[in-house]
Amino acid sequence: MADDTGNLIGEYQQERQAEDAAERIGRRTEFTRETPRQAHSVLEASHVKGEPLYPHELVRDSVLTLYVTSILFFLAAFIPPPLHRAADPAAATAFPPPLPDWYLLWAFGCLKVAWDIEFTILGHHFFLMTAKVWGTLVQGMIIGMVVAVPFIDRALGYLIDPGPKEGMMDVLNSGHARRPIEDPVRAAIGVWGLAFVVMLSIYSINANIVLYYPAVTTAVLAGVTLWGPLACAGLTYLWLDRRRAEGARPQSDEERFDLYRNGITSRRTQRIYEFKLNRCYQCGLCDDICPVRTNEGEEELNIIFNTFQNEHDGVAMWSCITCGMCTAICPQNIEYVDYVLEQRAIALQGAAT
Amino acid sequence: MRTTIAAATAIALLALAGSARAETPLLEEFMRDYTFLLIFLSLVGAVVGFAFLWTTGALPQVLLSTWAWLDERFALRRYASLARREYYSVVFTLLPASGRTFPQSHTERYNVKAVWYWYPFYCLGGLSFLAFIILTITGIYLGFYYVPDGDFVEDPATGEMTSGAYESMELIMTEVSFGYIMRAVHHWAAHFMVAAVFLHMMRVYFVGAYRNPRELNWILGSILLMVTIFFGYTGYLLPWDELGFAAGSIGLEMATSIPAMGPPMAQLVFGGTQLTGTTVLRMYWLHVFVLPAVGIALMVLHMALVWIQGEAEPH
Amino acid sequence: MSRTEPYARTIPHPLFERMIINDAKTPDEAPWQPERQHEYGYFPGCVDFMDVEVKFSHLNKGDADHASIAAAAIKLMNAAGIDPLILDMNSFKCCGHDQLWQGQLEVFDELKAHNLRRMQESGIRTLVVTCAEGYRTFAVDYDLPGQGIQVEHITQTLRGRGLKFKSPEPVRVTFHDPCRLGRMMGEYDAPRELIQLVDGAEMVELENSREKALCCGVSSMMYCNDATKAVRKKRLDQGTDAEIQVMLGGCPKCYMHMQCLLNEERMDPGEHNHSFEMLDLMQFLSACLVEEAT
Repeated sequence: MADDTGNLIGEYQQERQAEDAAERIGRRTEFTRETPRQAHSVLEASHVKGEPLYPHELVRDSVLTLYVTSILFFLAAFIPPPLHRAADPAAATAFPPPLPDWYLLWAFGCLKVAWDIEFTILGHHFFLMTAKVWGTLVQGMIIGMVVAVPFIDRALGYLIDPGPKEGMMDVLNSGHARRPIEDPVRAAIGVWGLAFVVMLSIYSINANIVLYYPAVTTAVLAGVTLWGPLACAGLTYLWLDRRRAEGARPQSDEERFDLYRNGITSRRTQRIYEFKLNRCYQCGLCDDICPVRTNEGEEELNIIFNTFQNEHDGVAMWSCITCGMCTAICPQNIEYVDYVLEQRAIALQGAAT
Repeated sequence: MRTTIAAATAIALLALAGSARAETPLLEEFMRDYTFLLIFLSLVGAVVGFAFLWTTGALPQVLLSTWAWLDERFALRRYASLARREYYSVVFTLLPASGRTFPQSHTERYNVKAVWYWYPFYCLGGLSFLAFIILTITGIYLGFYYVPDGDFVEDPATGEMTSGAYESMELIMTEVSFGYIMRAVHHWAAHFMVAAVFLHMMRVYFVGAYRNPRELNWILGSILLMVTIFFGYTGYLLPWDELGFAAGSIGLEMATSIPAMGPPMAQLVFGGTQLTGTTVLRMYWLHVFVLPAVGIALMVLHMALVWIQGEAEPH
Repeated sequence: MSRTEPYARTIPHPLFERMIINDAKTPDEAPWQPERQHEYGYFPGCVDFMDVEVKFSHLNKGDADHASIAAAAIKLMNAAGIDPLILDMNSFKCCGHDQLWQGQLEVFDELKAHNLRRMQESGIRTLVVTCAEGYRTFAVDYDLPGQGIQVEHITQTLRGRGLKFKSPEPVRVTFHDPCRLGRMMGEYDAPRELIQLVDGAEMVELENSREKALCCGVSSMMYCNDATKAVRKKRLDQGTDAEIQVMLGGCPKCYMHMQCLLNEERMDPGEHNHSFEMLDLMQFLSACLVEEAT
């Protein structure tokens, strides 16, 4: 139904535009062209078909929306938020002191963990900073580290391996998106950060905890806050590394690639280069540089466009001269030319059966 | 046609005659009793009509007529073609031939029918946005009744200190229709949104989707996290109850203790170095105008970047 | 400029391709042993070995002389003091590069199995090829280095051996980087080093060189249509722009494809607008070789 509507409206548009064009011979405006525009792609040439988000995205979003909304109403009904007594600046503060919402407990914890920085050297007393000030500054540092994560990650990657990266392009990049098991150091650091923030939040309610569990003193909590996250990080790293050594799925790209040498005919390995295509973020550089597409001046022999979406229209895929310029220029080091080979092999196998 | 006119005239004359006799205005009584029902029935009729058009396949034509009506008056085709060209020129040498422009997920491309148990973590971004929409809607409702007056006055009835803001909260919770529901949903959606944003950030971190070329999006996301938390904080303060007041004091202390910038920042956010009535007004303004404007702009930019660059699927 | 008729779909050199496939499917189990031990083996490849008329159709006479590339390479290696074992088509088969890139994996696997067996029987330690496609195929797709046989392109073998070259007359040349040698294997400098050794040859770079070099077109012998020919024509135009007299290639396929287009032009004098020669680097170096008097 959406397709039909799209088609109808598309055709209507075309007719009206043709009428406009007929009226405006010789006059070019910003918005319309006097001649029908050359089809930029197979898509345009064949009219836009239907809504892009239908049906997968629409169904999924509807289900999620209804589900989440109903959960919220359920919570609202059975655990309504209280309205406390009115604020009174003159009233004594209750004990234990009221707390901010859970998502700001970490900030509260930063303040509590801080202590006055003062020390005495050789009889001279230095008072550098009050607890309050550096407790606040630490929060800023935490936020700064979070914001700078991609750059810290890149710097770490470069420190670990400063040589030129894979492929012919020297890309200073610690790589593409990977699952935690393939990148245990990063995962361990993430677990450390998460555990640290959680521990700070727990530390912030030390007054409340001590009321119920007198054994858990502030000192105990401080110790756990300091060493707990490190322990979690270490355990995470060891666990992930162990799983990877045992050959647990998933493997890294390089490990999967070995299957190529054993024959590309099995169904699993057919997805190797398609899998690598996930890194593609559609920058279009490969398409710009493909000499077959650019030198004839034709838009339809859009080799990369056609093979990328697994829809071969014959001439395009087989016209690829496998020169490798697309692979050379790809900023994500996707071996597109090998993907074409893989697709040709699959096409031939399909024809054979 | 004639019978319709005749029937309508008859009814009108009857109503006229009836109203001449009655004490109360008949039509008004009728409207008062049956208005809700009529509205409900017309909504049902609209849905049924829409479903009817859909199933018989006449809907595209109806939509086309609507479009044509608008197009004749506003030349929509110009803007549509302009939008289309801009859309194509930015990204889209790689449009799929099937017409789908949103980047395909693995599920779509490979027609995966298995259940991938990490999938909920990948929905969190959208769920944060959904929570934001719910918060906006409930927030609009609450905003009709909330009064941002934080001056402390003594309640003549009980002798306790109270304020305009607090009184309006009590009103919302007790007298306003569905007020307590709206406040409750707003409260829970706020917590849900902060949780969803945080978990979304964790997911993006652990799969490394912040790497080249998505660094800018990560920075935008961190700013959005701070905006969300700040939203929660400003909203927390608004009822001007004990909890809010205490939270405000702590926040004020933290703000003033920042070296160099402290007092000006406290002035900006809290309206001074003490918690007064202006604090509530400032929090209100932040919560209701400044943060939504900034937040929506950044959210749109954040989602636009995801659209342009596609999702980083590490599996 | 929308196209109304479909692109011509000519798969070039069908006879050539059929012969290779047929050869692949013909089993050749007879054991083979070279007469004596050689450290170097030279694989001339199918393109240089098979007859010219197999490659060009009856419409296109063609005067590309591929066999001279192999002869030149052998002569140069001998001058450098290398005595290679010639791995010719009597015992070996086509390396299968085209079949691999066309997606005919079964054919490629058969060719590969046969050639690997022969390689082990040959007893060589280093394989030298003049064909850039063969170079990549043996080094990557066969993984000969992983089995103890080093693979070198002829330019890598010849450099640094003290060979001397002098051009009969001053000539302006350029080097056309083959895709398989350049982008895929990363070797851009060895051919240029050899050309620099030629006394009297002035070397210039084309507008697109090294990683950006334009392909000669139709590397995997798939469709040869207007679009793929346009790439080649652009490459030749760059040669004209650089005012060269000779374009040197590092792969017999490059040699063949440029020659094909130049031949087409020569058949139609009105179209003939590339006035330079296309030579393989080996042919050029062999002509310029200064023989040591021994």
